[in-house]
Amino acid sequence: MTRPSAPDLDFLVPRHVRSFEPYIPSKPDAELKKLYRCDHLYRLNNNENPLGPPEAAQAIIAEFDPERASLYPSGDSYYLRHALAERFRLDPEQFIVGNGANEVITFVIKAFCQEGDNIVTADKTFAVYEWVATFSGIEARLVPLQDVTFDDEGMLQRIDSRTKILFICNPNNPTGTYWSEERLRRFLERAGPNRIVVLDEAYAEFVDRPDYPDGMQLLREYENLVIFRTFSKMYGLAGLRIGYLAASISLVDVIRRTGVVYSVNSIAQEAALAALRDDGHVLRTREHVAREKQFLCETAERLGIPAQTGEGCFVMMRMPISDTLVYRKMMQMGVMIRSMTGFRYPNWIRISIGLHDAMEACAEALSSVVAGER
Amino acid sequence: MKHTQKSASLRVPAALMHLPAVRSFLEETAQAFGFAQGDCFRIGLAGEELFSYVCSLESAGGFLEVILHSVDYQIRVTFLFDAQQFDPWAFNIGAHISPDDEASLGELGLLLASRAVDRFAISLRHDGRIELLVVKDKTYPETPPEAQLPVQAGNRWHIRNANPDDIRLFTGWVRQFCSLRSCPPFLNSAGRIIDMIASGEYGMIVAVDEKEMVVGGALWHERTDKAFESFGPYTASEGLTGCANDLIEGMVSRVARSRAVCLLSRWMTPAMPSGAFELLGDIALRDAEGAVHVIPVGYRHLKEDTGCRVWTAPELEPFLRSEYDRLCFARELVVARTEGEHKPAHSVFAARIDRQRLSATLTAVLDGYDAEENLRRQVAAFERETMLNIFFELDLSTAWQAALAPILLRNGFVPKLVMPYAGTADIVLFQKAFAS
Repeated sequence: MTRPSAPDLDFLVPRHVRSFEPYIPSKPDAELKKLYRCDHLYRLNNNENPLGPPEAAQAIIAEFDPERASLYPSGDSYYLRHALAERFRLDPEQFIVGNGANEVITFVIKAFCQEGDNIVTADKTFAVYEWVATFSGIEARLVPLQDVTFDDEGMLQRIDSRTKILFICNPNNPTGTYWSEERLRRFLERAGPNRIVVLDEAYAEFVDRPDYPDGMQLLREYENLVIFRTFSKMYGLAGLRIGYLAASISLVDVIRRTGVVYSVNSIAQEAALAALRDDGHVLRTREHVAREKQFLCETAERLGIPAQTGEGCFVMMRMPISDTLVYRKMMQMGVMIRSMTGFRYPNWIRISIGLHDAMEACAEALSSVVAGER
Repeated sequence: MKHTQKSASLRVPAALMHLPAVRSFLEETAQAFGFAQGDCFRIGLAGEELFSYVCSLESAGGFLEVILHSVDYQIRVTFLFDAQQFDPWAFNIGAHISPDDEASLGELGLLLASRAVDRFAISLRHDGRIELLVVKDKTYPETPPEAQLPVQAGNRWHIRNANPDDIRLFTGWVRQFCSLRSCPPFLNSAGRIIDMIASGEYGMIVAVDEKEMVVGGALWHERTDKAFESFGPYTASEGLTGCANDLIEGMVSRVARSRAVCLLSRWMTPAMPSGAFELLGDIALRDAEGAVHVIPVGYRHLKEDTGCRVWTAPELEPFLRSEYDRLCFARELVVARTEGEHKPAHSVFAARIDRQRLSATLTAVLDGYDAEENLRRQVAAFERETMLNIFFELDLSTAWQAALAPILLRNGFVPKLVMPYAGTADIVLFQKAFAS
């Protein structure tokens, strides 16, 4: 009955890891369909691009020579960094490519933070900044959103001598709100040069607004600025896991020390390179997203459900019952949405824009859930 | 004021000659940690009974670790020892008694230790050690009736984490406006709540109106690794529907990224917004006067249900299917049958005793041929001890536990509700039907 060889986890595991709850991702579709007894499943939970990757990227994936799987990829995504530099008129040494933007978040926190330091971000935003800080033993200071937008004044007030990084998600996931260039510049000036300001632009390619800041251009003026971008959203390469950061050469030189080379596979690098050159894909996706967002908003209005729609490929809705129950009910109807309790938005759900048949199925499921509660 | 948790430990051979040392360690340490003499005496008494019991076991001879842990509002004493050196069977409540032998009912063993304290639990830890835990709540003065304040709720409010003065104001009116069935006993003392919140083990938010009056409140704490328990929402008047809603949202937001998978609530108020919690079912609690209180159990899942496989006995399957359908939880039910495999002679059931609620809750630790007899023995011991409310939590993660369901049904236990993810998998809560 006793297990004498069991390690003493109380001794081995740091307190900040012990108290951290691992994130449990959803099961594969086949398992979920079996469990929820549904014959189809529309995944509208991860803000993926329903149009898939650009055609050129699809061709790269289809034509990849299997024999190359035995060879290591470029350890630092050499050609992709050069292509990014050309596109944004920066230096290739200003880029680090990672296994998804999540990996570069980890690089940055490891590079600048040590025990006793803190980061500042919003309470209702992409969770990974907070998670990585917390399980690394770094305090995450969370500032409530103001009018569903990052609160610049509140963030500045939380800065102290141990604040190392300020994370801003622009546009914010899940609210879709963003800071204008003017507001961002004001914030950067007030934050000063002695703290890292991370601007996560995972959804930047979805935004077509004149006042939306171009973080890449601001890098020339602010040496403490770090930009995150990803190929998972607009470019439809979520399954290949590839994202990147851009910053000044001196910052990249530091961040690179905590990065893992060879973490980005060959297909991902080459598909991303091809995707980057397809501007038509961006325009087609924007048109599709705008059309289906409109459809979802009309559905919400018809059902009397408050909706929060901003930039990005998603819409939030406030449900009359617990969002986690809505998740289960909609799963039974073959529609998978994101419940927002984990974003500290209880009773809200986030719906990713999908193809129109998925949007119609979603609207039908929403109607059924709402009807059941009235 | 910074509140700190304090602890001290003693490692001692399991021999009666060390009994005075154990008792004085417990009493003097509790005193040094700031507890009143009466509380120290009781914790010493419980520790003495436990230590005597362990020393009386034939297989005794090893060492015990005695840990006294205090937070401002509570003392907890843990006895830890290796299960290889002591027969785990001996830690079944009433192991040495026979339900059919009236004389043996006097030998209540471990139950003696529980009499001096508020809660008592036996469990087998993951590291293979047996843990005996006794808990004594600090004695606080009750907030006097004259301290209750008139409350005139404004039309606007904001939610914030409760500070000690908020708690004083809240305690002033909460029992005046809320039914006693919705108020746990600890709400009768502002000092206790202040200490509970300061310990970090409980959380509390309040709704404060424009005049800085506290017009609402809600509390929560970590009941198990995966389940938080919530209390409220309490509002100063019935018209504050929006306030109750904001309190629930504030509470859920604060635990949303914690380890908890769910919030459970046995202390819901009429102010609870419709749809905020799902109703798992209800349990009936009999009090010392014989009155039966029906307690609805609310549930709020905090994560997305990833679905899982659970075991069931054929006799339990209709209940489970019906509950999972009603709650929309995706479960693959696998029927557990006795396949003739060997099992140990003796089963072990862990017990938790809550003297305030006159309740005892059993969980299955080890299977054995004597499971039914063991259950009867433990129930007899609890009934003898005037535990009026007896529960059994069956974890559906293993076939052998699910296979205990028919034994429970044969012995007067009724499945009351399913608590998703409350154990290793889901837990079915059985309640022993009241004797007529």
